Amino acid sequence: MTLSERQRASLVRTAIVVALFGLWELLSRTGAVNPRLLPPASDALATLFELLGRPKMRADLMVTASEVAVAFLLAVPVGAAIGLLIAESRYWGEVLRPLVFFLFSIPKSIFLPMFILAFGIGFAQKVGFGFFSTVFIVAMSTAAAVESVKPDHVTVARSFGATRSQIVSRIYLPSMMPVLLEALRIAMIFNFTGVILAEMYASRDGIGHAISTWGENFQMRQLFAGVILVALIAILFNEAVRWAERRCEHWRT
Amino acid sequence: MRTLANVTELRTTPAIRLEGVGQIYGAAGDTVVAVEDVSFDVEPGKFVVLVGPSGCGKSSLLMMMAGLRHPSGGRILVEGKPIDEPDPDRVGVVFQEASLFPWLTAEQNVEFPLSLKRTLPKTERLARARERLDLVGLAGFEARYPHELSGGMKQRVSIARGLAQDPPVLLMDEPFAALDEQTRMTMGDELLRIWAETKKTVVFVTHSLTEAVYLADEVMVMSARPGRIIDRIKVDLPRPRTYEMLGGEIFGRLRDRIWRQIRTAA
Repeated sequence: MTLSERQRASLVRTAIVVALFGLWELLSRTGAVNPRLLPPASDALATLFELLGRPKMRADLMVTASEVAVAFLLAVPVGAAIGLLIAESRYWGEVLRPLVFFLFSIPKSIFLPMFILAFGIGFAQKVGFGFFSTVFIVAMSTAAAVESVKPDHVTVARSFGATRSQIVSRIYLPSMMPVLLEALRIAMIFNFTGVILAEMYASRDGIGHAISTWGENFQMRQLFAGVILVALIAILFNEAVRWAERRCEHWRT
Repeated sequence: MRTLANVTELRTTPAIRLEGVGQIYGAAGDTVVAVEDVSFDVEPGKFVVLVGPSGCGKSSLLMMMAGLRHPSGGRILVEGKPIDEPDPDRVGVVFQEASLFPWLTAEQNVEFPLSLKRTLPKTERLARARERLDLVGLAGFEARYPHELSGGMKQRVSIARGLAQDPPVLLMDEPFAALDEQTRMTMGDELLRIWAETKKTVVFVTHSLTEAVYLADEVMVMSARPGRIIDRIKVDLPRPRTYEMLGGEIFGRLRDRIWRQIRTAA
Protein backbone atom coordinates (compact mmCIF):
# COMPACT_ATOMS: atom_id res chain seq x y z
CA MET A 1 0.00 0.00 0.00
CA THR A 2 1.38 3.39 -0.91
CA LEU A 3 0.46 6.52 0.98
CA SER A 4 -0.03 9.92 -0.56
CA GLU A 5 2.39 12.65 0.44
CA ARG A 6 -0.24 14.28 2.62
CA GLN A 7 -1.10 11.05 4.43
CA ARG A 8 2.56 10.39 5.06
CA ALA A 9 3.04 13.91 6.41
CA SER A 10 0.14 13.57 8.83
CA LEU A 11 1.43 10.17 9.93
CA VAL A 12 4.86 11.62 10.70
CA ARG A 13 3.21 14.55 12.46
CA THR A 14 1.22 12.22 14.72
CA ALA A 15 4.35 10.21 15.38
CA ILE A 16 6.20 13.35 16.52
CA VAL A 17 3.45 14.24 19.01
CA VAL A 18 3.30 10.68 20.35
CA ALA A 19 7.10 10.58 20.59
CA LEU A 20 7.20 13.86 22.55
CA PHE A 21 4.65 12.55 25.04
CA GLY A 22 6.60 9.25 25.18
CA LEU A 23 9.86 11.09 25.87
CA TRP A 24 8.15 13.15 28.56
CA GLU A 25 6.82 9.96 30.18
CA LEU A 26 10.23 8.27 29.94
CA LEU A 27 12.24 11.18 31.33
CA SER A 28 9.97 11.36 34.36
CA ARG A 29 9.55 7.61 34.99
CA THR A 30 13.28 6.87 34.77
CA GLY A 31 14.05 9.79 37.04
CA ALA A 32 16.23 11.47 34.42
CA VAL A 33 14.27 14.59 35.28
CA ASN A 34 13.02 15.02 38.82
CA PRO A 35 9.41 13.71 38.74
CA ARG A 36 8.44 16.37 41.27
CA LEU A 37 9.29 18.99 38.68
CA LEU A 38 8.10 17.00 35.68
CA PRO A 39 5.34 14.52 36.58
CA PRO A 40 4.80 11.74 34.01
CA ALA A 41 2.59 12.59 31.02
CA SER A 42 0.15 9.84 31.97
CA ASP A 43 -0.24 11.39 35.44
CA ALA A 44 -0.87 14.82 33.94
CA LEU A 45 -3.53 13.40 31.60
CA ALA A 46 -5.19 11.46 34.43
CA THR A 47 -5.20 14.62 36.53
CA LEU A 48 -6.78 16.50 33.62
CA PHE A 49 -9.75 14.10 33.53
CA GLU A 50 -10.06 14.20 37.28
CA LEU A 51 -10.00 18.02 37.26
CA LEU A 52 -12.70 18.16 34.57
CA GLY A 53 -14.96 16.26 36.95
CA ARG A 54 -14.61 18.90 39.70
CA PRO A 55 -17.34 21.58 39.94
CA LYS A 56 -14.80 24.27 40.85
CA MET A 57 -12.84 23.53 37.69
CA ARG A 58 -15.97 23.60 35.55
CA ALA A 59 -16.92 26.93 37.12
CA ASP A 60 -13.46 28.33 36.36
CA LEU A 61 -13.78 27.20 32.74
CA MET A 62 -17.19 28.82 32.45
CA VAL A 63 -15.85 32.10 33.86
CA THR A 64 -12.97 32.14 31.38
CA ALA A 65 -15.21 31.11 28.46
CA SER A 66 -17.70 33.88 29.18
CA GLU A 67 -14.94 36.48 29.57
CA VAL A 68 -13.41 35.40 26.28
CA ALA A 69 -16.78 35.36 24.53
CA VAL A 70 -17.88 38.80 25.76
CA ALA A 71 -14.50 40.40 25.01
CA PHE A 72 -14.54 38.86 21.53
CA LEU A 73 -18.12 39.88 20.77
CA LEU A 74 -17.30 43.46 21.76
CA ALA A 75 -13.90 43.70 20.09
CA VAL A 76 -14.90 42.28 16.70
CA PRO A 77 -17.70 44.73 15.80
CA VAL A 78 -15.85 47.74 17.25
CA GLY A 79 -12.60 46.75 15.54
CA ALA A 80 -14.44 46.02 12.29
CA ALA A 81 -16.11 49.45 12.41
CA ILE A 82 -12.75 51.18 12.91
CA GLY A 83 -11.25 49.07 10.10
CA LEU A 84 -14.10 49.96 7.74
CA LEU A 85 -13.67 53.64 8.55
CA ILE A 86 -9.93 53.41 7.85
CA ALA A 87 -10.42 51.60 4.55
CA GLU A 88 -13.40 53.50 3.20
CA SER A 89 -12.75 57.08 4.32
CA ARG A 90 -9.60 58.64 2.98
CA TYR A 91 -9.57 61.27 5.73
CA TRP A 92 -10.13 58.94 8.68
CA GLY A 93 -7.75 56.42 7.14
CA GLU A 94 -5.01 59.00 7.20
CA VAL A 95 -5.84 60.07 10.75
CA LEU A 96 -6.37 56.65 12.36
CA ARG A 97 -4.12 54.24 10.49
CA PRO A 98 -0.84 55.27 12.20
CA LEU A 99 -2.54 55.41 15.61
CA VAL A 100 -3.85 51.87 15.27
CA PHE A 101 -0.42 50.70 14.16
CA PHE A 102 1.29 52.46 17.09
CA LEU A 103 -1.10 50.95 19.61
CA PHE A 104 -0.86 47.53 18.02
CA SER A 105 2.93 47.54 18.33
CA ILE A 106 2.94 48.16 22.11
CA PRO A 107 3.00 45.05 24.36
CA LYS A 108 -0.46 45.13 25.90
CA SER A 109 0.64 43.55 29.19
CA ILE A 110 2.24 46.81 30.42
CA PHE A 111 -1.27 48.26 30.67
CA LEU A 112 -2.51 45.50 33.00
CA PRO A 113 -1.93 47.45 36.24
CA MET A 114 -3.97 50.35 34.86
CA PHE A 115 -6.78 48.00 33.95
CA ILE A 116 -6.82 46.74 37.51
CA LEU A 117 -6.96 50.31 38.84
CA ALA A 118 -9.80 51.11 36.48
CA PHE A 119 -11.82 47.88 36.57
CA GLY A 120 -10.75 45.98 39.70
CA ILE A 121 -9.89 42.30 39.42
CA GLY A 122 -13.24 40.89 38.32
CA PHE A 123 -15.13 40.15 35.12
CA ALA A 124 -14.91 43.72 33.74
CA GLN A 125 -11.13 43.81 33.96
CA LYS A 126 -10.77 40.54 32.00
CA VAL A 127 -13.25 41.63 29.36
CA GLY A 128 -11.64 45.07 29.16
CA PHE A 129 -8.15 43.71 28.76
CA GLY A 130 -9.29 40.99 26.32
CA PHE A 131 -11.03 43.69 24.26
CA PHE A 132 -7.96 45.91 24.37
CA SER A 133 -5.72 43.02 23.26
CA THR A 134 -7.97 42.22 20.29
CA VAL A 135 -9.51 45.38 18.92
CA PHE A 136 -6.45 46.70 17.05
CA ILE A 137 -5.69 43.50 15.19
CA VAL A 138 -9.36 43.30 14.17
CA ALA A 139 -9.27 46.91 12.91
CA MET A 140 -6.10 46.30 10.90
CA SER A 141 -7.35 43.03 9.44
CA THR A 142 -10.72 44.48 8.50
CA ALA A 143 -9.03 47.35 6.69
CA ALA A 144 -6.89 44.79 4.84
CA ALA A 145 -10.01 42.76 4.03
CA VAL A 146 -11.82 45.79 2.57
CA GLU A 147 -8.74 46.65 0.54
CA SER A 148 -8.67 43.10 -0.83
CA VAL A 149 -11.95 43.77 -2.67
CA LYS A 150 -11.11 44.16 -6.36
CA PRO A 151 -12.42 47.43 -7.86
CA ASP A 152 -12.94 45.50 -11.13
CA HIS A 153 -15.44 43.21 -9.45
CA VAL A 154 -17.37 46.22 -8.19
CA THR A 155 -17.38 47.72 -11.70
CA VAL A 156 -18.66 44.44 -13.16
CA ALA A 157 -21.49 44.32 -10.63
CA ARG A 158 -22.37 47.95 -11.34
CA SER A 159 -22.45 47.28 -15.07
CA PHE A 160 -25.15 44.70 -14.40
CA GLY A 161 -27.17 47.24 -12.46
CA ALA A 162 -26.32 46.09 -8.92
CA THR A 163 -27.58 48.39 -6.15
CA ARG A 164 -25.33 49.62 -3.31
CA SER A 165 -26.63 47.01 -0.89
CA GLN A 166 -26.23 44.29 -3.52
CA ILE A 167 -22.63 45.37 -4.03
CA VAL A 168 -22.03 45.06 -0.28
CA SER A 169 -23.69 41.68 0.14
CA ARG A 170 -22.77 40.06 -3.18
CA ILE A 171 -19.29 41.51 -3.82
CA TYR A 172 -17.76 42.94 -0.64
CA LEU A 173 -18.75 40.15 1.75
CA PRO A 174 -17.63 37.17 -0.33
CA SER A 175 -14.45 39.00 -1.43
CA MET A 176 -13.57 39.78 2.19
CA MET A 177 -14.51 36.37 3.60
CA PRO A 178 -11.12 34.61 3.33
CA VAL A 179 -9.20 37.52 4.89
CA LEU A 180 -11.93 38.03 7.47
CA LEU A 181 -11.91 34.41 8.63
CA GLU A 182 -8.16 34.51 9.05
CA ALA A 183 -8.55 37.78 10.97
CA LEU A 184 -11.11 36.21 13.32
CA ARG A 185 -8.80 33.28 13.97
CA ILE A 186 -5.83 35.49 14.82
CA ALA A 187 -8.05 37.87 16.81
CA MET A 188 -9.18 34.94 18.94
CA ILE A 189 -5.55 34.01 19.69
CA PHE A 190 -4.91 37.58 20.89
CA ASN A 191 -8.18 37.66 22.81
CA PHE A 192 -7.65 34.34 24.59
CA THR A 193 -4.07 35.32 25.43
CA GLY A 194 -5.27 38.66 26.85
CA VAL A 195 -7.93 37.12 29.07
CA ILE A 196 -5.66 34.33 30.38
CA LEU A 197 -2.90 36.85 31.07
CA ALA A 198 -5.28 39.09 32.99
CA GLU A 199 -6.50 36.10 35.01
CA MET A 200 -2.98 35.01 35.86
CA TYR A 201 -2.00 38.51 36.88
CA ALA A 202 -4.80 39.23 39.31
CA SER A 203 -7.99 37.27 39.74
CA ARG A 204 -10.11 35.12 42.01
CA ASP A 205 -11.32 32.65 39.41
CA GLY A 206 -10.88 31.46 35.84
CA ILE A 207 -8.58 28.86 34.32
CA GLY A 208 -5.69 31.34 34.09
CA HIS A 209 -5.95 32.03 37.81
CA ALA A 210 -6.06 28.30 38.53
CA ILE A 211 -2.92 27.70 36.49
CA SER A 212 -0.93 30.45 38.16
CA THR A 213 -2.03 29.23 41.63
CA TRP A 214 -0.94 25.65 40.85
CA GLY A 215 2.40 26.99 39.69
CA GLU A 216 2.93 29.02 42.84
CA ASN A 217 1.90 26.08 45.05
CA PHE A 218 4.15 23.67 43.22
CA GLN A 219 1.21 21.46 42.15
CA MET A 220 2.94 20.27 39.04
CA ARG A 221 0.45 17.60 37.93
CA GLN A 222 -2.40 20.11 38.01
CA LEU A 223 -0.23 22.74 36.34
CA PHE A 224 0.62 20.47 33.42
CA ALA A 225 -3.01 19.31 33.15
CA GLY A 226 -4.11 22.97 32.98
CA VAL A 227 -1.56 23.78 30.31
CA ILE A 228 -2.71 20.83 28.19
CA LEU A 229 -6.34 21.87 28.63
CA VAL A 230 -5.82 25.50 27.57
CA ALA A 231 -3.67 24.39 24.65
CA LEU A 232 -6.36 21.97 23.47
CA ILE A 233 -9.12 24.58 23.66
CA ALA A 234 -7.04 27.08 21.67
CA ILE A 235 -6.08 24.50 19.05
CA LEU A 236 -9.68 23.32 18.63
CA PHE A 237 -11.01 26.81 17.99
CA ASN A 238 -8.16 27.60 15.63
CA GLU A 239 -8.70 24.42 13.61
CA ALA A 240 -12.47 25.00 13.37
CA VAL A 241 -11.91 28.39 11.75
CA ARG A 242 -9.11 27.05 9.57
CA TRP A 243 -11.49 24.40 8.29
CA ALA A 244 -13.91 27.15 7.22
CA GLU A 245 -11.00 29.10 5.70
CA ARG A 246 -9.94 26.15 3.57
CA ARG A 247 -13.43 25.94 2.14
CA CYS A 248 -13.07 29.37 0.58
CA GLU A 249 -9.38 29.18 -0.21
CA HIS A 250 -9.93 29.30 -3.98
CA TRP A 251 -11.59 32.72 -3.60
CA ARG A 252 -8.17 34.25 -3.18
CA THR A 253 -6.94 35.20 -6.61
CA MET B 1 -42.34 68.12 -37.69
CA ARG B 2 -42.90 65.50 -35.01
CA THR B 3 -44.29 62.98 -37.49
CA LEU B 4 -41.32 63.46 -39.71
CA ALA B 5 -38.90 62.96 -36.82
CA ASN B 6 -40.64 59.75 -35.89
CA VAL B 7 -40.45 58.45 -39.41
CA THR B 8 -36.76 59.18 -39.64
CA GLU B 9 -36.19 57.53 -36.29
CA LEU B 10 -38.08 54.40 -37.31
CA ARG B 11 -35.99 54.05 -40.39
CA THR B 12 -32.59 54.64 -38.91
CA THR B 13 -32.47 54.22 -35.13
CA PRO B 14 -28.82 53.37 -34.61
CA ALA B 15 -27.97 50.85 -31.91
CA ILE B 16 -25.55 53.37 -30.44
CA ARG B 17 -25.28 57.10 -31.13
CA LEU B 18 -22.62 59.40 -29.71
CA GLU B 19 -23.16 63.15 -30.09
CA GLY B 20 -20.18 65.37 -29.28
CA VAL B 21 -19.11 63.23 -26.36
CA GLY B 22 -16.29 64.56 -24.18
CA GLN B 23 -14.70 63.53 -20.92
CA ILE B 24 -12.71 65.80 -18.65
CA TYR B 25 -10.99 64.57 -15.47
CA GLY B 26 -9.85 66.44 -12.43
CA ALA B 27 -10.85 69.57 -10.58
CA ALA B 28 -10.77 73.16 -11.82
CA GLY B 29 -7.32 74.38 -12.82
CA ASP B 30 -5.89 70.87 -13.08
CA THR B 31 -7.93 69.11 -15.71
CA VAL B 32 -7.13 66.45 -18.27
CA VAL B 33 -9.19 66.17 -21.41
CA ALA B 34 -9.43 62.41 -21.93
CA VAL B 35 -11.98 62.34 -24.74
CA GLU B 36 -12.96 65.22 -26.99
CA ASP B 37 -15.94 65.72 -29.26
CA VAL B 38 -16.57 62.13 -30.34
CA SER B 39 -19.59 61.55 -32.56
CA PHE B 40 -20.56 58.41 -34.41
CA ASP B 41 -23.41 56.00 -35.02
CA VAL B 42 -23.24 52.23 -34.85
CA GLU B 43 -25.91 50.50 -36.91
CA PRO B 44 -27.68 47.50 -35.37
CA GLY B 45 -25.85 44.20 -35.81
CA LYS B 46 -22.53 45.80 -36.70
CA PHE B 47 -19.16 44.84 -35.27
CA VAL B 48 -17.16 48.00 -34.56
CA VAL B 49 -13.61 48.00 -33.18
CA LEU B 50 -11.99 50.95 -31.40
CA VAL B 51 -8.19 51.17 -31.60
CA GLY B 52 -5.73 53.84 -30.56
CA PRO B 53 -2.54 54.47 -28.62
CA SER B 54 -2.42 53.63 -24.91
CA GLY B 55 -4.27 56.13 -22.75
CA CYS B 56 -6.23 57.56 -25.67
CA GLY B 57 -9.51 57.14 -23.86
CA LYS B 58 -10.94 54.16 -25.75
CA SER B 59 -11.79 52.40 -22.51
CA SER B 60 -13.24 55.64 -21.09
CA LEU B 61 -15.45 55.89 -24.14
CA LEU B 62 -16.60 52.30 -23.68
CA MET B 63 -17.34 52.85 -19.98
CA MET B 64 -19.46 55.87 -20.92
CA MET B 65 -21.41 53.77 -23.44
CA ALA B 66 -21.98 51.28 -20.61
CA GLY B 67 -23.41 54.03 -18.41
CA LEU B 68 -20.62 53.46 -15.87
CA ARG B 69 -19.23 56.98 -16.36
CA HIS B 70 -20.92 60.21 -17.28
CA PRO B 71 -19.65 62.21 -20.22
CA SER B 72 -18.61 65.76 -19.34
CA GLY B 73 -20.22 66.91 -22.55
CA GLY B 74 -22.45 65.63 -25.33
CA ARG B 75 -24.77 62.65 -25.05
CA ILE B 76 -24.94 58.94 -25.70
CA LEU B 77 -28.04 57.14 -26.95
CA VAL B 78 -28.42 53.37 -26.90
CA GLU B 79 -31.39 51.99 -28.80
CA GLY B 80 -32.56 55.58 -29.19
CA LYS B 81 -32.63 56.39 -25.47
CA PRO B 82 -30.01 58.15 -23.32
CA ILE B 83 -27.91 55.87 -21.13
CA ASP B 84 -27.49 57.64 -17.77
CA GLU B 85 -26.73 54.57 -15.71
CA PRO B 86 -25.91 50.92 -16.43
CA ASP B 87 -28.85 49.20 -18.08
CA PRO B 88 -28.15 45.48 -18.52
CA ASP B 89 -31.31 45.06 -20.61
CA ARG B 90 -29.76 47.27 -23.29
CA VAL B 91 -26.02 46.86 -22.79
CA GLY B 92 -23.90 43.87 -21.73
CA VAL B 93 -20.25 44.42 -20.86
CA VAL B 94 -17.34 41.98 -21.19
CA PHE B 95 -14.27 43.05 -19.23
CA GLN B 96 -10.61 42.08 -19.32
CA GLU B 97 -9.39 38.88 -17.78
CA ALA B 98 -9.91 38.18 -14.08
CA SER B 99 -13.26 39.91 -13.91
CA LEU B 100 -15.10 36.70 -13.03
CA PHE B 101 -16.11 36.28 -9.39
CA PRO B 102 -13.80 33.59 -7.98
CA TRP B 103 -16.31 32.58 -5.29
CA LEU B 104 -18.95 31.60 -7.87
CA THR B 105 -19.00 28.68 -10.32
CA ALA B 106 -19.12 29.31 -14.08
CA GLU B 107 -22.89 28.83 -14.01
CA GLN B 108 -23.36 31.12 -11.00
CA ASN B 109 -21.18 33.77 -12.63
CA VAL B 110 -23.43 33.80 -15.68
CA GLU B 111 -26.52 33.75 -13.50
CA PHE B 112 -25.25 36.70 -11.44
CA PRO B 113 -26.73 39.50 -13.63
CA LEU B 114 -30.08 37.71 -13.72
CA SER B 115 -30.10 37.17 -9.97
CA LEU B 116 -29.82 40.92 -9.27
CA LYS B 117 -33.31 41.64 -10.60
CA ARG B 118 -35.02 38.43 -9.48
CA THR B 119 -37.63 38.73 -12.22
CA LEU B 120 -37.09 35.08 -13.11
CA PRO B 121 -37.33 32.12 -10.73
CA LYS B 122 -34.02 30.51 -9.77
CA THR B 123 -34.50 27.36 -11.87
CA GLU B 124 -35.20 29.44 -14.95
CA ARG B 125 -32.21 31.68 -14.29
CA LEU B 126 -29.91 28.68 -14.03
CA ALA B 127 -31.44 27.18 -17.18
CA ARG B 128 -30.71 30.44 -18.99
CA ALA B 129 -27.15 30.45 -17.63
CA ARG B 130 -26.58 26.89 -18.89
CA GLU B 131 -27.98 27.89 -22.28
CA ARG B 132 -25.49 30.78 -22.51
CA LEU B 133 -22.59 28.56 -21.45
CA ASP B 134 -23.64 26.13 -24.15
CA LEU B 135 -23.63 28.99 -26.68
CA VAL B 136 -20.01 29.88 -25.83
CA GLY B 137 -18.95 26.24 -26.03
CA LEU B 138 -18.68 25.50 -22.32
CA ALA B 139 -21.39 22.87 -21.86
CA GLY B 140 -20.18 20.50 -19.15
CA PHE B 141 -18.14 23.15 -17.30
CA GLU B 142 -21.05 24.66 -15.34
CA ALA B 143 -19.81 23.60 -11.91
CA ARG B 144 -16.19 24.69 -12.39
CA TYR B 145 -14.77 27.61 -10.44
CA PRO B 146 -12.80 30.27 -12.38
CA HIS B 147 -9.47 29.03 -10.98
CA GLU B 148 -10.23 25.65 -12.55
CA LEU B 149 -10.62 27.17 -16.03
CA SER B 150 -8.01 28.26 -18.58
CA GLY B 151 -7.68 31.92 -19.61
CA GLY B 152 -9.68 31.35 -22.81
CA MET B 153 -12.42 29.50 -20.95
CA LYS B 154 -12.68 32.30 -18.38
CA GLN B 155 -13.27 34.79 -21.16
CA ARG B 156 -15.93 32.50 -22.67
CA VAL B 157 -17.71 32.58 -19.30
CA SER B 158 -17.30 36.35 -19.30
CA ILE B 159 -18.94 36.60 -22.74
CA ALA B 160 -21.75 34.31 -21.59
CA ARG B 161 -22.25 36.59 -18.57
CA GLY B 162 -22.35 39.66 -20.81
CA LEU B 163 -25.07 37.98 -22.86
CA ALA B 164 -27.04 36.74 -19.84
CA GLN B 165 -29.79 39.31 -20.09
CA ASP B 166 -29.84 39.11 -23.87
CA PRO B 167 -29.01 42.80 -24.44
CA PRO B 168 -28.94 44.05 -28.05
CA VAL B 169 -25.55 45.71 -27.48
CA LEU B 170 -22.36 44.03 -26.27
CA LEU B 171 -19.39 46.19 -25.23
CA MET B 172 -16.02 44.46 -24.93
CA ASP B 173 -13.02 46.06 -23.20
CA GLU B 174 -9.85 44.32 -24.42
CA PRO B 175 -11.33 40.94 -23.53
CA PHE B 176 -8.51 38.88 -25.04
CA ALA B 177 -5.56 41.10 -24.07
CA ALA B 178 -4.20 38.67 -21.48
CA LEU B 179 -4.46 35.55 -23.67
CA ASP B 180 -1.63 33.89 -25.59
CA GLU B 181 -1.69 34.34 -29.36
CA GLN B 182 -3.10 30.92 -30.26
CA THR B 183 -5.93 31.18 -27.76
CA ARG B 184 -6.54 34.74 -28.92
CA MET B 185 -7.01 33.61 -32.54
CA THR B 186 -9.40 30.85 -31.49
CA MET B 187 -11.36 33.23 -29.29
CA GLY B 188 -11.64 35.69 -32.18
CA ASP B 189 -13.23 33.03 -34.36
CA GLU B 190 -15.47 31.94 -31.49
CA LEU B 191 -16.59 35.51 -30.89
CA LEU B 192 -17.46 35.96 -34.56
CA ARG B 193 -19.48 32.74 -34.49
CA ILE B 194 -21.36 33.86 -31.35
CA TRP B 195 -21.92 37.29 -32.89
CA ALA B 196 -23.30 35.74 -36.09
CA GLU B 197 -25.63 33.48 -34.05
CA THR B 198 -26.92 36.18 -31.70
CA LYS B 199 -26.90 39.16 -34.13
CA LYS B 200 -25.71 41.57 -31.43
CA THR B 201 -24.24 45.00 -32.00
CA VAL B 202 -20.65 44.81 -30.76
CA VAL B 203 -18.19 47.55 -29.82
CA PHE B 204 -14.79 46.03 -29.16
CA VAL B 205 -11.70 47.81 -27.77
CA THR B 206 -8.28 46.37 -28.54
CA HIS B 207 -4.58 47.16 -28.87
CA SER B 208 -4.06 44.57 -31.58
CA LEU B 209 -4.37 45.88 -35.13
CA THR B 210 -4.57 42.35 -36.53
CA GLU B 211 -7.41 41.53 -34.17
CA ALA B 212 -9.12 44.80 -35.11
CA VAL B 213 -9.11 44.15 -38.86
CA TYR B 214 -9.90 40.46 -38.46
CA LEU B 215 -13.03 41.07 -36.38
CA ALA B 216 -14.45 44.38 -37.51
CA ASP B 217 -17.02 45.64 -39.98
CA GLU B 218 -15.56 49.02 -39.22
CA VAL B 219 -12.43 50.13 -37.34
CA MET B 220 -12.44 53.51 -35.59
CA VAL B 221 -9.01 54.93 -34.92
CA MET B 222 -8.56 57.26 -31.96
CA SER B 223 -5.83 59.84 -31.49
CA ALA B 224 -3.64 60.19 -28.42
CA ARG B 225 -5.04 62.27 -25.58
CA PRO B 226 -7.31 64.10 -25.97
CA GLY B 227 -8.94 61.13 -27.70
CA ARG B 228 -10.75 61.88 -30.91
CA ILE B 229 -11.88 59.71 -33.80
CA ILE B 230 -9.32 60.43 -36.52
CA ASP B 231 -10.24 57.73 -39.01
CA ARG B 232 -13.07 55.32 -39.74
CA ILE B 233 -12.11 52.37 -41.87
CA LYS B 234 -14.64 50.00 -43.42
CA VAL B 235 -13.31 46.48 -43.56
CA ASP B 236 -14.75 45.02 -46.75
CA LEU B 237 -13.40 41.53 -46.27
CA PRO B 238 -16.08 38.87 -46.77
CA ARG B 239 -17.48 36.85 -43.88
CA PRO B 240 -16.83 34.37 -42.47
CA ARG B 241 -13.33 35.64 -41.93
CA THR B 242 -10.63 33.04 -42.34
CA TYR B 243 -7.04 32.63 -41.25
CA GLU B 244 -5.88 32.87 -44.90
CA MET B 245 -7.16 36.45 -45.14
CA LEU B 246 -4.53 37.53 -42.60
CA GLY B 247 -1.82 37.17 -45.26
CA GLY B 248 -3.91 38.76 -48.01
CA GLU B 249 -3.29 42.07 -49.72
CA ILE B 250 -6.48 43.80 -48.52
CA PHE B 251 -5.77 42.81 -44.92
CA GLY B 252 -2.23 44.14 -45.04
CA ARG B 253 -3.31 47.41 -46.62
CA LEU B 254 -5.97 48.03 -43.96
CA ARG B 255 -3.63 47.21 -41.12
CA ASP B 256 -0.95 49.52 -42.57
CA ARG B 257 -3.42 52.35 -42.84
CA ILE B 258 -4.43 51.99 -39.20
CA TRP B 259 -0.83 51.73 -38.07
CA ARG B 260 0.14 54.91 -39.94
CA GLN B 261 -2.79 56.75 -38.35
CA ILE B 262 -1.84 55.63 -34.86
CA ARG B 263 1.85 56.42 -35.36
CA THR B 264 1.16 59.97 -36.45
CA ALA B 265 -1.45 60.38 -33.74
CA ALA B 266 0.65 59.13 -30.83
